[in-house]
Amino acid sequence: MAIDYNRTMLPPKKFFVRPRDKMLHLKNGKWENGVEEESLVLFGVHSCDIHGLKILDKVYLGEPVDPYYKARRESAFIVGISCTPDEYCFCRSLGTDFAMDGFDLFLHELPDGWLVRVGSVKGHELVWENEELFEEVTEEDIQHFRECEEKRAKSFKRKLSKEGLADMLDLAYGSPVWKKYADICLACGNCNMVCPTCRCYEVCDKWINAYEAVRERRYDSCFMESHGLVAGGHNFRPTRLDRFRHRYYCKSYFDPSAGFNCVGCGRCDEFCPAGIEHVKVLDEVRGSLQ
Amino acid sequence: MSENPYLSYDARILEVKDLTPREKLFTLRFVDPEVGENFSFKPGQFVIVDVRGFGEFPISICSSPTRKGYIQLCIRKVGRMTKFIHRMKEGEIVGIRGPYGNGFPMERMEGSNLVLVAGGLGMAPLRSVLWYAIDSGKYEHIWLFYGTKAYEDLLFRDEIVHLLKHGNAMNCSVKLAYEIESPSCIYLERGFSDRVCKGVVTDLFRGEEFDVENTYALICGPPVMYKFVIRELSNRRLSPGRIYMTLERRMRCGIGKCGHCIVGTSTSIKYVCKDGPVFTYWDALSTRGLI
Ligand SMILES: Cc1cc2nc3c(=O)[nH]c(=O)nc-3n(C[C@H](O)[C@H](O)[C@H](O)COP(=O)(O)OP(=O)(O)OC[C@H]3O[C@@H](n4cnc5c(N)ncnc54)[C@H](O)[C@@H]3O)c2cc1C
Ligand code: SF4
Ligand code: SF4
Ligand code: FES
Repeated sequence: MAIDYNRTMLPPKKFFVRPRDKMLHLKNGKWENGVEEESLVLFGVHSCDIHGLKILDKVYLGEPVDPYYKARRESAFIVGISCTPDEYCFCRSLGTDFAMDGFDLFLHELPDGWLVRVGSVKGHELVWENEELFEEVTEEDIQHFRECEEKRAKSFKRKLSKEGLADMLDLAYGSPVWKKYADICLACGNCNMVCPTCRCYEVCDKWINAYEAVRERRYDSCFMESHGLVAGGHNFRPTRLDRFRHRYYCKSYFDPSAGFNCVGCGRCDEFCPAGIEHVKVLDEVRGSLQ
Repeated sequence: MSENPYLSYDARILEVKDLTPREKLFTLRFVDPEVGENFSFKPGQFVIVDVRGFGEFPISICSSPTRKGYIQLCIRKVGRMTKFIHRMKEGEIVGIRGPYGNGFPMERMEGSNLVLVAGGLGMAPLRSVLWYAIDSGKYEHIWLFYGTKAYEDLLFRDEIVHLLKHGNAMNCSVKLAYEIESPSCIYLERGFSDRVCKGVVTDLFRGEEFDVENTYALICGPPVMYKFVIRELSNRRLSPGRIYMTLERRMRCGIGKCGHCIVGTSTSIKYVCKDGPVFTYWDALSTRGLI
């Protein structure tokens, strides 16, 4: 088991909103509910991804509640794990490098074992049932934990400057930097697929035989031309520039109740075939205003 | 299992009426009377029509909540799903979920004048407002400015002509602009020369003054129309907070999940399906990209 991985390609959202997700099942002209309950343990989730799930929670658990997401979220047991940032991570500058909640257990690596934080009743019960595996935390452990955290905090190489970001970006709507990058962008949509907070979906009905059909949703990307297209051929985001900028605006929106829509996981940078870097684009846009 | 908001309710097609070669009016009633009772909506709200096994699409409710026992949808044949429903007949069943969206704030506007500005298919949601306002009698005066391509494209022709003739008794003045001339237009124009003209919808504002302290404007039409109508209203100093517009976007879920209808920038993001589809002009000034 690799527990010192940097990041997975797809974030844990894939367990809750699946890339292809069956919603309803049509039988004899009636929809049958497709919600399945199954238990799930996610082991080794990084704090940025836990924050990502909390942003998805705001969307999918907000009224009206999405029953598929809710069933999976409630049956999931999440074990977080501490990590060491690489050259792509910028979660610290967004405050998502540490999770206070959103997990059942969180494991922090210490020189001589693991410090375990308990984040939920489920987590608490699990610890109780397996008491023989745990020891009381000592002063020394806490000391080690602090040292590790401080060391980690210093090892971030990338930083998103959040100050006044929302207003700055809005003012820079016409900045030439958008165009410069939109011209390089391949509009492949990778950055959407791998982002822990991107969650646009398309819906499609499919017949499995002459009598039965399923309604399925699957990931969509705001880089696709069809994303803003309506009947009659009108497109609300007709150019790649519009679509490129839209993603940055959506990611940089600060929702007072949910926080930033970007958690700084660095996936969009690592998996962009055109080598476009999120922080660099935003910094350049800021620069173009001065 | 808790309730699933993606499930639609059975509704029977009571009547299908051709309005124009492209648009049909569907009158629907929920099969389960209890669902029908609980289905209450406001003018400006929309439903998602579910043709099971084929797809879903959003459509404004074009009947008024004052007319109970049924809902009406005016559907233009433009693509795959709308073609499909145009082939459906009386007695057949479609799924309906909703109502969705905020709708027009009808209570807030009570006692005021309403200026309804419709372009083409934009007449559909405004028809709900129109009949709600007339039926309830709670509004001072109602203007309807309606721009259409040609007489043949005029939606709800009987009602519009009826209001041209007898609107005054209902505190309602209707004005009509058409772009393509035809014998029917000329005939109408002759009968109502002060209210029917060749031109676009903004031409109907000529010579009209409103009591801006006591008037609300409600606009719905193709995307290009808003700018021009708003200019007419702003020239008359109607406050951006008194101008309501209902907007269209691609929509999949109708309930703020699928992300397609998101508009705005880092300072303000709106979901057209749940924060709208009705927005004020002020919203458009503070959220980039709304219009
Ligand atoms: C709030 C709202 C109210 C509307 N009210 C009405 C109305 O009263 N009368 C009317 O005729 N039309 C209305 N529309 C437009 C109507 O939803 C589209 O015409 C319809 O979805 C087109 O589907 P289609 O498959 O026939 O078209 P196609 O061109 O085949 O569409 C291709 C795909 O794009 C999707 N699509 C195209 N346009 C839209 C759209 N605007 N919203 C969502 N998906 C779209 C379709 O569902 C389809 O999957 C409304 C749209 C919105 C958002
Ligand atoms: S925008 Fe990029 S860095 Fe931010 S959360 Fe999404 S994938 Fe991670
Ligand atoms: S991953 Fe890179 S190239 Fe692909 S759409 Fe995103 S920014 Fe463009
Ligand atoms: S229609 Fe899906 S989010 Fe608005």
